[in-house]
Amino acid sequence: MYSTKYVKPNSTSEALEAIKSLNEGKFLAGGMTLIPTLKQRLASPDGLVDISGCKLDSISDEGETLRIGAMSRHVSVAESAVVKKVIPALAKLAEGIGDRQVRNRGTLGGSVANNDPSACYPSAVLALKATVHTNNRSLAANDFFTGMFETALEEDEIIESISFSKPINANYIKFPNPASRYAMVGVFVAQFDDGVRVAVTGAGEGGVFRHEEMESALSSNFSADSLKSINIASDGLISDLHASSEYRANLIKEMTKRAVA
Amino acid sequence: MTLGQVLLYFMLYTYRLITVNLSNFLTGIQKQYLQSLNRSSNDLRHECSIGEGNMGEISLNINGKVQTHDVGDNTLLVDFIRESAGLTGTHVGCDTSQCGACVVHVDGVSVKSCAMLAAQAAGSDVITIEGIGTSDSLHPMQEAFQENHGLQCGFCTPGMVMSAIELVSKNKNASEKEIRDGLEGNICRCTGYHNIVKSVKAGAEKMGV
Repeated sequence: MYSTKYVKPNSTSEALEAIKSLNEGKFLAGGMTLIPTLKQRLASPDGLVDISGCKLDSISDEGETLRIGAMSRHVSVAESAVVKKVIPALAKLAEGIGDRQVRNRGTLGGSVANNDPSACYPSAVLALKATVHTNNRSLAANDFFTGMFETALEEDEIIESISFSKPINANYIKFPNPASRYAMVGVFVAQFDDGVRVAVTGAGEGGVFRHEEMESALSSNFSADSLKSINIASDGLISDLHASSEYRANLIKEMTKRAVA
Repeated sequence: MTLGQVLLYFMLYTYRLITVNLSNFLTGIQKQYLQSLNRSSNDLRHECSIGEGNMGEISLNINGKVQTHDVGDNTLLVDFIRESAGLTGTHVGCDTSQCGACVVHVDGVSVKSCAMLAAQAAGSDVITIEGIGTSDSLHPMQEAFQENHGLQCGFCTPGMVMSAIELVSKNKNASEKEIRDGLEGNICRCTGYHNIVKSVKAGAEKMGV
C-alpha cells in the first residue's frame, strides 16, 4: 500500500472539509473494496477520510419508505427487526453478501457508491424505487447509476442515507460465484401498486439495469409462467471466465422465475 | 598529427570514458548489493508491511493490554498485531480477505484484520487468539478443536476459532448447515472441514452459551 494519510471526522461537514484539503482524497466506508484496492496499489489517494464516525448508521421506518443510513453495516441490515418486518427481501439480500466478516464491516453506502457490476445492493436500490440522499441533494435510483463502477456522485459528495419504497411484495435471488459470493447474476423483483420492477445485477456490462420486458410481463401477470415466452438477449452482458454472456442471459430468466415463484 | 592519430586518440578517450563510468556504475550496484546484505531482516520486514509516511501513534487495547506504537497510517491491523505487538498467533493466509486466517474480534465483532487499517481500530478492544486462553487453560472452543481433531496443519485454526466463537455466541444451537454457512469466510487448506464442524458443535456445548 502506498503511503497515505488517515483522518476520522465526527460529522459529514467535517468530512467534506477534510476531503477538500486533500488533492486526491477518498472517503472510506467499510473498506471491504477500498482497502484491498489500496493493497494492490491500484489506487494511491493522498488521504483517506473515514466516515464511520459521522453517525450515518440509523435505520428508520418513515411510513411510505424505509430509510437506511449509508454507514449501516450489512450485518445490521440483515439483523434489523425493522428491515425484516418492512422489506424482508432487503434483509435477505444483506444476509447473502460475502461472508460474516465482510458483512460485519461492509456498508450499504460503500456498496452503492462503488457500484460494482456484481454487487447485490444496486439491484435493490433500482428495484425498490429508492432515493439516494447525499449531503446536498436527493437522487432517484434511475439517475444514480451511470455505468460500471460509475455513479452520479461528485468527488466531494457523501451518501448519507437511502430511502427504499415499501413494496407489496419483493424478493432477491442470486446465483453466487462459489468463491467470492458476488452475484454472477442477481435479480431483485419488487411488486408495487403501479407495476413490477425487475433489476438485474452481475450481468450488465454497464452495471445494474432494469429489464422492462419482464417488468411489463410480470405487471400484467405476476407469475413465472408469464416469463415463458420472453427471450433474454445476451447483447451487452458480461462474459468472463466464470460465465459466458449467453449463460448469464439464461441465469437472468431463471433467477427471475425463482424470485417470482 | 595525422587524421589517423586523431581518430585513435578520440577512440581511446571514448573507451576510457565508457570504462570509467561503467566501473563506477558497477561499483555502485555492488555497493547497493552489499548494503542490502548488511541490512537486518527487521529493516526488510519493515519495508514490506509496516506502513511508512504519515507516522503517528496508534493505540489499541489488545487482549486487555494497551499497545501504543508509532506506525504509518497505511499499516494494516494484522501487521500492527503481528509485528508491532508481536502477537503472531493471528495469521496471514491469502492476504486478499478471503481465507479468514487473520480473523480477530474488534469490539466484539469478528473481522478480517488484513482488510482493515490499524487506524480504523484505534481506541478499540481487540481480541486475538492469544487473548482467549492460555496453553495451560484453553478456551472451551480450543479444547473442542483439540479433542475433535479440528485441525491438521493448524494454519487456519486461529481464524477458525475466532469465527466459531462469534458464530456460537450468536446462535448457540447452530445446526451443521448453519455452522458450515457461518464459516464460509474461513478456508482450511487441508480441507478438514468435517472435524472443524464437529469441533464447533462440541465447542458450543462446552461454552454453554
